Amino acid sequence: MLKAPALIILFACIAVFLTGCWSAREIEDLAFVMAMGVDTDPEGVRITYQLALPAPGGEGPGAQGGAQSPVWVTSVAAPSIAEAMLRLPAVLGKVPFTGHTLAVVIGEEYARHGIGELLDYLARDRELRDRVRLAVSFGEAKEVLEVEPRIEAMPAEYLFNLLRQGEATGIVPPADFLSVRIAYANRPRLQIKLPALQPAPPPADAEADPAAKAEEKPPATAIELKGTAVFRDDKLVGFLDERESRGVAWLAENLRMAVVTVLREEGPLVQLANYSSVRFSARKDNGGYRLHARVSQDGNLTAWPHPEQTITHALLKQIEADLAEVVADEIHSALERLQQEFNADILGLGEQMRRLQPDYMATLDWNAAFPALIVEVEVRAAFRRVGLTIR
Amino acid sequence: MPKQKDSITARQLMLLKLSGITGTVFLGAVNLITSLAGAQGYMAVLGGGLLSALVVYLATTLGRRFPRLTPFEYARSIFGKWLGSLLGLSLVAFNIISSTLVLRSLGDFLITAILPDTPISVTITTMLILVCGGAWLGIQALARFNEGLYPLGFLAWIVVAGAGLWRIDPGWLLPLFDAEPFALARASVVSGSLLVNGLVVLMFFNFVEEQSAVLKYSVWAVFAGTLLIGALQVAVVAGYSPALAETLKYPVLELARNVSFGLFLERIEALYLGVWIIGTFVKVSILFYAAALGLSLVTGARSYHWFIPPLAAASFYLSFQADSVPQSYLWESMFNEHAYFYQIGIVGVLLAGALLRGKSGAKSHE
Repeated sequence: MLKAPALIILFACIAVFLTGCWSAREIEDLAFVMAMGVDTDPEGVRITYQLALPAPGGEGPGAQGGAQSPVWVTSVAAPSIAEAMLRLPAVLGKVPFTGHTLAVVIGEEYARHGIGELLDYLARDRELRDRVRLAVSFGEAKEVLEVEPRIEAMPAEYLFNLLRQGEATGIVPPADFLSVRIAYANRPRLQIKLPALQPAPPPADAEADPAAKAEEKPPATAIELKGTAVFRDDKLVGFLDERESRGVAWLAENLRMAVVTVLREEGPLVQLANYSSVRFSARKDNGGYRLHARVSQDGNLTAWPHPEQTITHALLKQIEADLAEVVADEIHSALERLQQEFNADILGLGEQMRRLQPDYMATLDWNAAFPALIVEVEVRAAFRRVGLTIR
Repeated sequence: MPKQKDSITARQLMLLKLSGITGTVFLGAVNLITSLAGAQGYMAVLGGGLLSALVVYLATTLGRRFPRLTPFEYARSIFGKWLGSLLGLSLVAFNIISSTLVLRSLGDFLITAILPDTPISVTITTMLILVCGGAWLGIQALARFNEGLYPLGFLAWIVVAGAGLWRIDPGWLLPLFDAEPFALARASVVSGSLLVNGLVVLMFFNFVEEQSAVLKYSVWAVFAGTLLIGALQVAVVAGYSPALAETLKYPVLELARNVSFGLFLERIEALYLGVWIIGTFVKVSILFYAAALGLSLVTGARSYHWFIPPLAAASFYLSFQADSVPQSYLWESMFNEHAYFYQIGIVGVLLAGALLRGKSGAKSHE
């Protein structure tokens, strides 16, 4: 005879596991969506799915000598995103599972029409994770999903890792789904920014491949990161190039391995910046406030154009001013385009102002105030290490 | 009247109270507090902790006056048979409404976030059958089970709260005093209701062997519950921003979903949820047990067991009265916004009556 606590443990276990049978889904009935692409279509929207294929013969992806792709790319058009997702089982014969989705690529044209519907759908999806990366492609998103990388068996993993590396260097902004949701919920004080990318042109040797037919265009094998897609509310309004993107990153503390080059007459002087921080303060200005941003960064000297000259601490201090100027230029060029051309506060300067001067911020229409906001930038750049040689 | 055989320790009572507090935190409480107090939700939780401690103090003061009686019994001793029975029945009704709302809320949660293909009737019925089993076995069995399980549940809470706090942006909590005082007060009342947890101390004081330790242990339970819910509140608001947090139906689930250890150990929320749902089972079982016991004492029946099936039937019927998830959420919110007033009200009325009429357990036994 079971004792009472043992009976309760039994009950509790039943409570946890019993009802799960009803919603059980066998793994062979699932189609694992590794990446999605969203484009416009005459019918409304076209979703392209990059689906993981089961490994033949129980072996890993790319078995059979690497001839078979580990993914299948297919598209579904529908009037709405939700309907496109619901139509997918009719195409696949399986239930799409987005719990392992790594990236969602949005076509430029679709992004210009607005991504609000997409964000709403993704936020309601109980399977999708907040760490999934979003990005905007020049041209169609489908083309990005069709890239067949050589470095990674699973294209979605390649894209995911590429975006994470790009975030660290500052040439694209971080765009995990959580960051995008936070920005969308706090607009216009903080607008959405997404990485911009496109398939890299196919390698030159691909055309010389005798196996390839003359009329077939060889698939791209790499993706290029191309800066930042700037949104106002949910609509794409333009792009920042890589240099301007890094200007944004300096003000957002996103950098962990940015390569900063100071061009001097004698040659390039290069720093690998692996630390950056920013501190905002609000200063009174003609009855209002202006923002002061103090950016601090430091890193390693990785290229030195004076092989005959010993690197000393005093010498490093002299060139730090040049480095600070390069960083400040990047920030100013980004600010100028964001304020004057796009009127989109992807830096979250409005949110910073709200935190510092909430009463003043409450009086402002930020869409009208942002272009006129005065932002003072002070950069403190430093070299900490110089590598394994002192010349 | 049924003879009371079961007894529990003060520590078991503390863990039952804590289990009840955390047994529903993942359902909708954090969302409600956030929607009322915004970024200052954690302040509301601190305020709720104080309100809850007040109820605990009054309940233990009352319990000490009637060390051998349940509130259903001493209510009649203080106010006479009819009025006392009416107060006792109000406690029964409160417990059944509380447990029904928790059951429905759990059902909504499961079909929304975990088991989309499972009918809500199945989840509610399954839990209801288990709850009946738990209540049938009694407070002692539940307390011992909970004593063994709860450390695991609390560890899960610490992991989720800690992981959530790890990636917050404290700037979202600024400015520090931005909430409307009235909204903050309402959110404090909601937190207080959550932390009082269905008057567990009032209803089970007389089951405790070392009654002098009840106040200390109960305050510890309130303190731990306040810290935990406060930490979750900060993790949600400063991790997701107040504007986004207000839109999240189950913000604690969102926190749990994002707990990972590197890129190799992810999607482990099922582990947390399993432990938490068992906590919900304990909470509802305790409420059911108290309701059945109350009915048996009010009616003079020989056993509380016979009241469990009709109470379950009533709860089953009531849990399907809401037509949709938003409607059940609205009802739950309304209940949570007003439950504290009943909780402090019933304790206050009983204590005031006992003081004014000079009643105590010793006299009633004489």
